[in-house]
Amino acid sequence: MRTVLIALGLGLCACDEPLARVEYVDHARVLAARVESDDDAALATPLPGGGFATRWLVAAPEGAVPTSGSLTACVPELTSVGLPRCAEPAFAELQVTPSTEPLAAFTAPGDASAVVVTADFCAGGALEPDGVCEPAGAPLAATLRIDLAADGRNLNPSLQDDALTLSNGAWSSDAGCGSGAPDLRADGRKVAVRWTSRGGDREPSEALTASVFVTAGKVAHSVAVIESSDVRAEPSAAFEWELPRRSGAPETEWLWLVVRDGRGGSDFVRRGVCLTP
Amino acid sequence: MIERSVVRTGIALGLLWPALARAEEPLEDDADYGATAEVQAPPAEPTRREVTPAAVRETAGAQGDPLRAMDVQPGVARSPAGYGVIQIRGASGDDSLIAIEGARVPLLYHFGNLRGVVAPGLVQRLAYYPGNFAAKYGRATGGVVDVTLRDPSAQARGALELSLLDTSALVEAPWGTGGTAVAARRSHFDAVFAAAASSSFSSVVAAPVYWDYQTVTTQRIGDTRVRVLGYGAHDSVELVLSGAAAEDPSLRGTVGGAIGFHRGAVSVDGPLGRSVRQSSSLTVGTLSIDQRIGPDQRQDLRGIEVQARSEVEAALSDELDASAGIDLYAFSYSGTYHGPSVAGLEGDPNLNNPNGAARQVSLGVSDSLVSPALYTALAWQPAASLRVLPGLRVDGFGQQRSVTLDPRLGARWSIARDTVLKGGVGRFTRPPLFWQSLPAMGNPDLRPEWAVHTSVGVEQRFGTLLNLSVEGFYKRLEDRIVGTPSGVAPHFVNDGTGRIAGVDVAASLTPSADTRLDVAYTLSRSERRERNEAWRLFDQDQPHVLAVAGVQRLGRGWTASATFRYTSGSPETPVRGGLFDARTGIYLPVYGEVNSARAPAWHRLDLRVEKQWTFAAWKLSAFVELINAYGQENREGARYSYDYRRSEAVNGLPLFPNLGVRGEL
Repeated sequence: MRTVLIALGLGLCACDEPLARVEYVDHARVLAARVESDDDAALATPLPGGGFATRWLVAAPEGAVPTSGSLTACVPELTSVGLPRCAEPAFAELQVTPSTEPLAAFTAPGDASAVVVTADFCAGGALEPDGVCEPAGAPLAATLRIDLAADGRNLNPSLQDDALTLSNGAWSSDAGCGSGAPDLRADGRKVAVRWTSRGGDREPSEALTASVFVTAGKVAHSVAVIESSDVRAEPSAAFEWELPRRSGAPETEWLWLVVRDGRGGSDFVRRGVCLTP
Repeated sequence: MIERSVVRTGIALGLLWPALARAEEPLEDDADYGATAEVQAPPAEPTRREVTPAAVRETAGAQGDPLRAMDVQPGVARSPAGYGVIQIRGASGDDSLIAIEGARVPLLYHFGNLRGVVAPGLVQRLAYYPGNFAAKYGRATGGVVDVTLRDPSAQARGALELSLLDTSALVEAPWGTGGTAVAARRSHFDAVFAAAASSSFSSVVAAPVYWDYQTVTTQRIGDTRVRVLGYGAHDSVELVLSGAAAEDPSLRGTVGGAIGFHRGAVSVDGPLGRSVRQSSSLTVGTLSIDQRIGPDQRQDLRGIEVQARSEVEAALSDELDASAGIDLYAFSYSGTYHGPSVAGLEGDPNLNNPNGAARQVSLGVSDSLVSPALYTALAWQPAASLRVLPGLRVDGFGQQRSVTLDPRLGARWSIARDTVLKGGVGRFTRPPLFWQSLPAMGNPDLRPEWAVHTSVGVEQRFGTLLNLSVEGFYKRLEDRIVGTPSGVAPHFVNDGTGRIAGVDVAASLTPSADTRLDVAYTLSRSERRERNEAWRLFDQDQPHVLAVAGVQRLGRGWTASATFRYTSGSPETPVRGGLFDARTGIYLPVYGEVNSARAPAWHRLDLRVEKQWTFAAWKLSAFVELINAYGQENREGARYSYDYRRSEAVNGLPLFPNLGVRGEL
């Protein structure tokens, strides 16, 4: 009943206006990470003793910035609440050289059922020995729990090139102004971004959660869920992107779509638009 | 059954003002409803406080409801907004026994604190035992609140009350050798809630509704009284979120819940001989709890509770009374649960974490538990001024396969005509909450918790002008059930202790028949410790709790009253920042030292004016109340940005006017 009262409270206290909009990328942030087994990049559940890579999505207002970082991996305790805790000392520690899509590879212990990777990233800077990013300050901290599965494997969702449409038109460009990004008027209009889950996205009985992030404007409901009970062959969800009003030169703005299956699988894409006054 | 606390987001459903009840004994007994004349037995414990409808009817914010008076009794901490739990002398809500006619009930208030679940007109008294309670009560380590329903009036009567909150009716009629009374109430603020709460965030499908009912039928067969009771209460709400919450997508879709209970009881009490009396009761009822949050998180629980009591009291001599009894509690239940693992308990700030970031569990349960108890108590009066009250209680806890022995001792010593010294010491035991011992969710090897209460105090009368009571207390909590670090299996262990110390002060000043002033103040400190960690403050530790209520009868049917209440803010655990969980896309709060900060103090003033018109056959009353009259913005919690970089206070009830009329035949 208390949790129900939360919602009541939210409804009553005019909490429609968040303190900070989740979807608005106004500073460098980690948005997602994808696990890819060495055996099969589509697999989000590596084998115990097997190799796997973690591919991190770090977004910034300018789209992407070279990001370095420090990552550790350990076998976690089977916790129920709170932050992940290592059951034993980390089995791997590594540094990531600056990249717009940081990638770190590990080999899982053979007797573990799960692994936790903890990351400190520096977007546009370097991680100093004292744990501070130079020149950005505090690092971007993130954690990722990875289930290892000798059986009961889980596939990552796989976003296709045609997964997104913009105002009912194809939208596959991961580029900015002058490089193929669609032109949009920065006049406050609302445009429809639609994500369609293709056949390879979803395994049976899986719910997919899609989150949209933008570098400009607003998205009223930036998270959509395709429930496990949705039997449509190609279910879709629409996001209403309210563009900003601007004058001056055309500028590139970015939109990211992150899809999670709730079981550790994920995928993400970036799209660009060119906002013209 | 399983709930997650919500300090992070706070709750806008605020507290309505409680009543300030009289400490010790009510000064007036001219209840508008004809309570059966009853001679109070001598106290069987060092301290018993009573609240009657007559004592609270005119009090600002009371809404005439004795149950609401609990919030401002000495020793009772202010409940977080909307929770409606009763925290007695530094104990958690689960530590105390809340009962109607001696039978445990799952809730005493609708929607947290809005209303009591019993029609005020049918309450004979609310007995409140803040500690060192008698052996007849058990399965509690905090205190006891026991509501007694009155017998029907010897005359046909009726009452109807309409206010902004609800409408209630009471009808009673004599028949046979007794009579029957029926009362019912239903809220109607759902009529306005839908408009107030619907927004772009949510739309209300079924606005909050509460209702309750009570029936009392009494017949007398010689000196024996036979009563048949029926009572129940139900709260429900449902709304649909217009989209998934971006901060926690698990919060989406339909969010709703309902809790209800229904009880039927038969009781028989009367003499068995010249100096022997017996009282027996059998209470059977159902309990149902439903909650759902989106398609993935839901719980339902259905259960049947059987509670039986039988007690024999005998006057063995002029100096010695004895009583012995049995007290049985049985619960058969079944249910399902799908949702976040419930691993943290009091003192674990992770209880406030987003649901979607927690480990999810699914389980179905169907089981039963039986907890029989035997008790005996003596009231020995070696001198006219001294009353010694030893007791012994033996509890069996079927689910834990354990038996506990609780010896208790109390005493009251009248050292002068108007002065009583009192004190007590005893052991008190309560079992784990049933779900904490479920193998799939908790630890089947848990043991009951226990506590030692010690108290000493003095009651002083200054004629009819002033009643004063001062009582110090110290409690030690042992085998307290705590969560394991980060909720690792077995999730719960008996690895906690606690210590609580304080002093209660209660005063009732009656300078004239038309003027009354009541003051209740508690100074206390409540601490807990898990494993061998350092002592920390209890989640609801409130060092200062003060309530002052005044009533002035102005003549010609006019009455004005005011109630002021002040409490220390509860401890808070600071949030240092957030850690992004890439698996769920949710930020996890990073906490500082548990309960190392404290919320601002909370205070509020209620004002009430009532006018009563008395006609030949009936009475009509109209009242206006200003709840939180000066519009104090009391912080009830905080909400955070998605990444925990920013926060702001969530405040409780703003100024709220309540209007009502009441007609009584």
